[in-house]
Amino acid sequence: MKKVLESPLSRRSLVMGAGAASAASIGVAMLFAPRRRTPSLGEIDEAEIAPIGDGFYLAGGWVLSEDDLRARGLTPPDEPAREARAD
Amino acid sequence: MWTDLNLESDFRFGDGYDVCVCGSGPAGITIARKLKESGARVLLLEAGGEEWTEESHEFYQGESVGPIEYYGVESGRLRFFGGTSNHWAGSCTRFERVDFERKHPWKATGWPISFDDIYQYEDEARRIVDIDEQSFERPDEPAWKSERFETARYAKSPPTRFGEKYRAELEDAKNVDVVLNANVVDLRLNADKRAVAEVVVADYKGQEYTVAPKFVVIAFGALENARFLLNAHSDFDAGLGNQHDLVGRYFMEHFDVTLGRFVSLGSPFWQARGGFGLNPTAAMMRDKAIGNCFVSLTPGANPKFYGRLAPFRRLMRKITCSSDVLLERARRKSTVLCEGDGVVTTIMEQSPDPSCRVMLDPDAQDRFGRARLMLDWRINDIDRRTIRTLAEEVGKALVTQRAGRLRINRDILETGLPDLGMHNHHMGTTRMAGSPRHGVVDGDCRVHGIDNLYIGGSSVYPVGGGCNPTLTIVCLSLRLGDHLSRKLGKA
Repeated sequence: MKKVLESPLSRRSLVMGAGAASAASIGVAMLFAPRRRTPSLGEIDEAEIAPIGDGFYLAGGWVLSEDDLRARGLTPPDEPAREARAD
Repeated sequence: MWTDLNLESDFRFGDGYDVCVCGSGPAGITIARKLKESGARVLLLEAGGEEWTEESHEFYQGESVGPIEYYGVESGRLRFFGGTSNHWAGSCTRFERVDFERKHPWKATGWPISFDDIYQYEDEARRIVDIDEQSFERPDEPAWKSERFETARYAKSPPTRFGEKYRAELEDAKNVDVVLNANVVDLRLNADKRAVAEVVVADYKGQEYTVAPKFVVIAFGALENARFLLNAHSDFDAGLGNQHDLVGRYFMEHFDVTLGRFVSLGSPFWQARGGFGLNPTAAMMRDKAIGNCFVSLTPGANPKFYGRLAPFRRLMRKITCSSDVLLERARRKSTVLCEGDGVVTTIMEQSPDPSCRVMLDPDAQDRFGRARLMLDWRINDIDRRTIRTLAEEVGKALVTQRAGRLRINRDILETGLPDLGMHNHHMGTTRMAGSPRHGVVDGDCRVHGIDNLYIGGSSVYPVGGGCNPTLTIVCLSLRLGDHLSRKLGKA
């Protein structure tokens, strides 16, 4: 605290400088962050992926296609035999 | 004649009424107007006055006693002239033809009459609820091509307040008498117990009156129709029309279930449209053995932020939503809705179930000594399957339409018992069936076993479909008015 008080910069200048630095960081982050091209679904546990028929899967509550899973580096589980799915 | 029993001191009902219509909601007023046109002499009784009063409304007190809390017992209906149309939202849809098929694996019987029997009155009903100029065809959604869902028909009434709109017409009619603050408390049968001889009416001062019409129509709404018949045990201990213990059973609502939230792909699909409605196709309902549903897809979530930090929070949301990486991190902690994301809500059919029922409360009575209502509302395995199947199928359809990805409500997946809401659509408590073993009224809405007693309103629905009930109530009421006019030789 003493050092700040002894700094040649005023407290106001320091606050403004910090704000500018934050804004610049956010701007850089926005510039380089990958754009949203696919829906963002949060983390999906591969062990919880379950087939729901017609080539679709339930993953973390999301209804996804096989392509969705593969695009996320996930392996779709085998669909069980049709008889076993009868309900 | 327009009479308010609260303002009368020496009133007597006249003689010679052809029909006494009890209840002045959309069903009662429509039946009375239809009979008026035929020249029949009509008495229209309303238990409330021209405005809402605590004195009248307290008759709707009741208890929800089932495994699912039902919040609409008291608040979902109105007991004054115009009935529940006084707070109707105005949504008009109709049953699909598939709703008239016997539904597998439902054990209860379906409609004993056809789609055309009811909707031959659709044009007339549309004028009554002021939707005659609106298209009622399936909206054209060229981008939506699915074998499992089709776009839903829908029209919006202003909404019509039946009491306001038709009061003057009824007051001026020479052959219609309207009596307000007239509580129908009992029906007395004739000697052979096959017909109603007298309608017993009480005012709020405790005075009792009787009137002897040729025909009686009970149109109090589905909860009160059942309570009234169960309480009318002057001639039969179990109540009127209840020889097979069916009155009050098969209560149905439409489940208000949020199937989940969807994220759009930022795809052009949503840019050209707002939300829209879907129905499952008949083929899918048959194939999956599920009920009907009106599915609403509402995109464009736009959360509002308030307070001094609002600009900062708006900025943070914009930043988060612009990046997959940031959004994934944020969604591990909370639900983050971005522009275009939306919710999937439903008006979902409840399967007819005899254990879902209106009963009488042995420990609570209204001021006329009639037992108050208890409602046992429950969900069964067929309903759970309908909910889960529709959630999965909507999710699949969003993928194939390149419209988004659905995250199904966790409760649906984990417990099969989602947070259920309701739409205040009360149905089924005096269901229609060809045989008295399966229903309370026959295909003409006449109570089985009683020659001159009829029921108006959605309590006669044997199934609920995925549709708002009012338009169909009006169609059935026109049909009942026609039927009674013919019986009176006035058609």
